[in-house]
Amino acid sequence: MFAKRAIAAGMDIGTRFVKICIAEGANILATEMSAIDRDFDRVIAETFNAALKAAALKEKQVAARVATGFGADLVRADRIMSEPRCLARAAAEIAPGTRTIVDVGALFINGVTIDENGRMEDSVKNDTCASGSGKFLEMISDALDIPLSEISETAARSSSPYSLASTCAVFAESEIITQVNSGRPGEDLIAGILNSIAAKTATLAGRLNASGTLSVTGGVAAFAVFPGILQSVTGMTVRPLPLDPFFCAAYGAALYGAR
Amino acid sequence: MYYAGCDIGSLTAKAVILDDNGILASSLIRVKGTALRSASEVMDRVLENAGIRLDDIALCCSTGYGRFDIPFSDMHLTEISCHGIGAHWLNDSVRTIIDIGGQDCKVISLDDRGLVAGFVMNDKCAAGTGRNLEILARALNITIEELGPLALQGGRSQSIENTCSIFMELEVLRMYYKKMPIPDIASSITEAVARRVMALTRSVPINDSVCITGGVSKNSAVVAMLETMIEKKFVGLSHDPQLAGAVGAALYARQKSAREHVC
Repeated sequence: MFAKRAIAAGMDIGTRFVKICIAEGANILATEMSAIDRDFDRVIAETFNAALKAAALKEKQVAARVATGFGADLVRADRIMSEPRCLARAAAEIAPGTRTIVDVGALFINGVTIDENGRMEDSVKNDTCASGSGKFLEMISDALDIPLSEISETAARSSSPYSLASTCAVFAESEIITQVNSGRPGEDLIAGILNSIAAKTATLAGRLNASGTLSVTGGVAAFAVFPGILQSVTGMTVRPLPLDPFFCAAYGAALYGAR
Repeated sequence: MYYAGCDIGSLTAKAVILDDNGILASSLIRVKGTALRSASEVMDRVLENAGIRLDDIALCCSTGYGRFDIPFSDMHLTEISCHGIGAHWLNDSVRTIIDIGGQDCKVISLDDRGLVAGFVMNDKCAAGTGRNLEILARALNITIEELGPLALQGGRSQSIENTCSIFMELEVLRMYYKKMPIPDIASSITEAVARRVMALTRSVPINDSVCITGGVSKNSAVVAMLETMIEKKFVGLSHDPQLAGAVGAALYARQKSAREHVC
């Protein structure tokens, strides 16, 4: 008989979404995500239960829970692993040979380098200022009143992307509202915002001495135009990791629990 | 003769009308879509309060970040100079002004005539501004007006380490998720915002008699926190401190008119 592979849950508690991945060994059984709101404990519990249901499991069948992300210490878990380690672990599993990853999330951008043995080498994070973070996309979506699902196709129509004068995310929001009121086309504003996020990501990747191929993941990478923009800003080959970009860190966390 | 000062900030627009004796009327509104609309509306209000018409104004001076877009103003002057002139006129003992507006924060030092001797301004980062307070209050689902009284009830505040408004918001949310009492979180917020303001005083030190102006001067908890940090009480002004910039602009218009009549 084969040894029974452990079932584990990876819980990535981000700033906007909770992402849960249940895996048996390296095999994904279910993924589930929800927006976090003020009723934090309820959102986490409901998302976890939904993932259990999708995997047709009972709670006691999950041998380990591993938490990661900004709110990792706010949930019940057997272990906490840093996001860079989880990202590296996931990439080593699904795309062996990956050397550099950038995870562009709602507020944080994590950059990670991985050595030839698949271990995390170095990591960087935008931890002092939210300039150029995914927050910019949320505010443009609010300012223009267009859903996030239409961001990509709208940006693709722009012929002259707007160049933001403000660095601060809070001031950028006022600047964008002023531009919207003065009639600047939405597609140029959105394309400009995506350029700012790509520029910030490129700066962080530069601090890693990244070369070769840049693997991109995280919620912002879910926008179809983003990898191409990042490629033109960095001059590096950019390719998305072959996994739903929202679940990379959660999958890595599950892998840590499953062995 | 009537003189007007119009201060178009990022969150509020203020207007003041002076005659040769003093302040005749004032008005304060939340900004509208464009600087021009804000200026027109606040001016209509103040004229109505004063019971006069725009044609009755001899000179109008504008200030604030929207000062360049106002067709009915005859001149403009930086908000730094206007706050200096205004605050000094409202209390001639003032030598240092801490001005905390919607999107900027400044420390201004004045000489004994009320002229600007030095200043430092943060307008690149929202930390330590009214917007910073507003964002953190909103994270608690309360208004900026509710924040001050709640913070004064708060007991133990917890230090907020981040200096970016957006990351501060995350720390506030963490406190909320950890079920820390709301008054304690409110107190932590005012402490954090006051600390960002204090960071500016490293470049322009606080001298002698100091006053506070701008919208955040209305937040009793931030004011109390700053007084603790600078180890002295703010001196009072004889008119609403949020209007100091508009008062300064109107005074500048009046001085200019007097000078031109002499020439």
